[in-house]
Amino acid sequence: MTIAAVPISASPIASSAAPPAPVPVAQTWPLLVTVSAGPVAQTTPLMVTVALPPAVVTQLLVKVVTPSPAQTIPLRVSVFTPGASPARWRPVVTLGGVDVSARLVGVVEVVATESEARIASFSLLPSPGTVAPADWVGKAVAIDFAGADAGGNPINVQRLFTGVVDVPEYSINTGIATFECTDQRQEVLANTPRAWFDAAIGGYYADAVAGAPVDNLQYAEARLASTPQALELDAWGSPRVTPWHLTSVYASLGAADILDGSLSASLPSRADLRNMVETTFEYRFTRLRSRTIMGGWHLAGDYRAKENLPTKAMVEQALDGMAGWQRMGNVGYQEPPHGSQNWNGGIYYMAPEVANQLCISFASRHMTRWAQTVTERYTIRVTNAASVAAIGPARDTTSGGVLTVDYDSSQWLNDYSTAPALTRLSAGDESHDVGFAGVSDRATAAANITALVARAQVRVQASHRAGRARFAVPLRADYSLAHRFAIDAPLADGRRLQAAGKAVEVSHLMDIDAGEATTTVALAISGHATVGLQPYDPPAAPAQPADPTPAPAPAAYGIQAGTFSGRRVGAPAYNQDTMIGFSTNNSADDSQGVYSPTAELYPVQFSVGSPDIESPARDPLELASTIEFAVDVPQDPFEVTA
Amino acid sequence: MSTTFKLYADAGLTADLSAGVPVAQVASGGATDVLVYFGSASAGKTLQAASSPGGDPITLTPVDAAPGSGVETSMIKLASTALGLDSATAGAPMNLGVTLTSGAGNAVPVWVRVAAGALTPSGTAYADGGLELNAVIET
Repeated sequence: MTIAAVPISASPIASSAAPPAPVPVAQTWPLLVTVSAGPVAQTTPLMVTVALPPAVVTQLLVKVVTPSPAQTIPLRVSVFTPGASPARWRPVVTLGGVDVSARLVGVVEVVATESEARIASFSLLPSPGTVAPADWVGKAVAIDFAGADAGGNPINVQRLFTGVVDVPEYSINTGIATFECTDQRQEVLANTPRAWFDAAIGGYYADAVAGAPVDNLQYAEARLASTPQALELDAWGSPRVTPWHLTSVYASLGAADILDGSLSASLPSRADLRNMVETTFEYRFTRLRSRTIMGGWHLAGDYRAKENLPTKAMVEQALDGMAGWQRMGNVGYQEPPHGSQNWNGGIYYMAPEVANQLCISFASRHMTRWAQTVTERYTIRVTNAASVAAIGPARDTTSGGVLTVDYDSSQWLNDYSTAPALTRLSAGDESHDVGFAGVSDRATAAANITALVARAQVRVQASHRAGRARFAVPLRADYSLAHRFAIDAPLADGRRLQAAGKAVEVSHLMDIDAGEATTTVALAISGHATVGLQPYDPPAAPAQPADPTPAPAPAAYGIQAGTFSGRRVGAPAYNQDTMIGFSTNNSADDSQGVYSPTAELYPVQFSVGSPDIESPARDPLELASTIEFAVDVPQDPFEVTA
Repeated sequence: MSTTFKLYADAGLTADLSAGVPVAQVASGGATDVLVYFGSASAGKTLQAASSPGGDPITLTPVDAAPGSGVETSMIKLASTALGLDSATAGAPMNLGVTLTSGAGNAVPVWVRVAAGALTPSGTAYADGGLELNAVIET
């Protein structure tokens, strides 16, 4: 709304020629008021266009594939009885996945040795073209021995070696490449899970004896050292564990089976035999010890006869000043009676506020802690008594192990709230052997001792299987280090050899040029000149040795404190070194008439003597013992007769 | 439709064993281990189980065409590693994977252990035993 108004001052006033008589007339000036409407609401139309979107078609690409039905690849299992080399044989060698058999020259040889890497060698004429020997390093190699059919195709293929090229050599003079190969025993075993070794080898493993293994191979070797078994890879490169002493014979060989002149035998020299193995093991740890003593003192004589009585503060200062001892709890006091009482013909009076500051006896409890280093030293001796009886003692001393529990006892010694508390309510001793479960504790020490015993037993057995019988036969790919053989055949000198043992070396040789294929086997002959049963003690750890520290004298569990009075007839000269306890003086009215004003005046003071910890309980403790174990030696047949 | 995925004697997938996996078994001897490879030498191929591509595994299963004679499935073990043969269950299938890709680098090693030492030596190979590949789709 707007209001329009005419200003009053601007409105014209009518005039005339003659001035009219002034007549007062009322005049009205209208107020022109225009009332208009407010802003008008406006509508802005929304322009909405509705249209259909363009059609989009996503193609579904359906490819109809006919599935390949289930199919069977046959296994062609050729079962054959190995005997003499087949009339027609051939090596099958693949290098880097390529069959190079047709290019082989010279000799193909595979040597498997107990608990060592299997090695192989062969030579070939490389294919025409560039020769880069370095490219051959690490190439996969497989060597098989096969019969050959009429067409020269391999049949009855038997694996002899699976591995890689270790060292290739190329002769520029002959154009022949020679390959030294390995089955990568170290790498394979290093990559084999420890759980497999635990299950397959068994034996014993302990850090302090074997050392912390850098890889699984060392772990396996450590376990192997504690059990009479062998660990190598088979012809396919698979780890295999075989006992030294196999019970079943894989093949019994006679003169007809063994190549002429190949049979030989050797015995171990006495210098190589060990029938008594000694080793040591030390277990060092800290034995935390505590001792609780009971402090006590009672004033000797009548308290009323003393010039002074000890104050409680004086007593506590003395008790708390015992070097190395900590007061446990409050001191229990007996205060002198307060009030008036008849005494020596007069009245003895002690005010209550005085009496409660003094004492005529007290009882207290104190504790001290100390740490003692304990070393248990075990000498472990493993003996085969039968061998000792046969050849005399042949000793061997091997390195043992040391297991030390590292422990900083300073906090435990200085802060009595540090566990273990080892507190007592009565006088006596407590102790605690420091160890960390699973790291270095008694169970770990026992495991190490057990492992050492087992290792020593294996050393005795190992030295007694150094005898060897060797023979060669037409190539037998099935002969392996996992087999035991029996021989009954004449030696070169005509004597008859009867022996049996486990194979410790099997060497296959295929001479392409000579057309010869042979297998040479070395047997380990275990035993010595004895008969009858031999004792065997399973590896075990001894029980924890008892603490030999003798119990201290009863005085060790109390404090020293007496009562010494001066100003007394016959009072000796004061000696602060010997007069430990409360020193005071008799009062003039001591009721006994022994007061002497001329006698020495003792100082009024309270001192206590704390007991010392006896040296057997404090000094480093060494406990030495020898533990004996018996071990048997398997007896393999070995007899040479005329 | 056949598949280009096969068993090979070598990791390079050059020696096709479709005709059969040769196993030399010494009579009365221990088990024989053979290492073969499953793969395809063709380029750009993918293999999945037909029963549920990408879901079900591709498997090799010991089979016996003549139960009661010759090689039995109980004589056959399969594993992806030599060590695995020791703990493998005789006759149990081996899982090769859900999706396999061709190429020598993708070949799957298959260890086969055959314990047929009890069989009678014969001039011809026992071929009743085999390894069955389940129905597959190759794309």
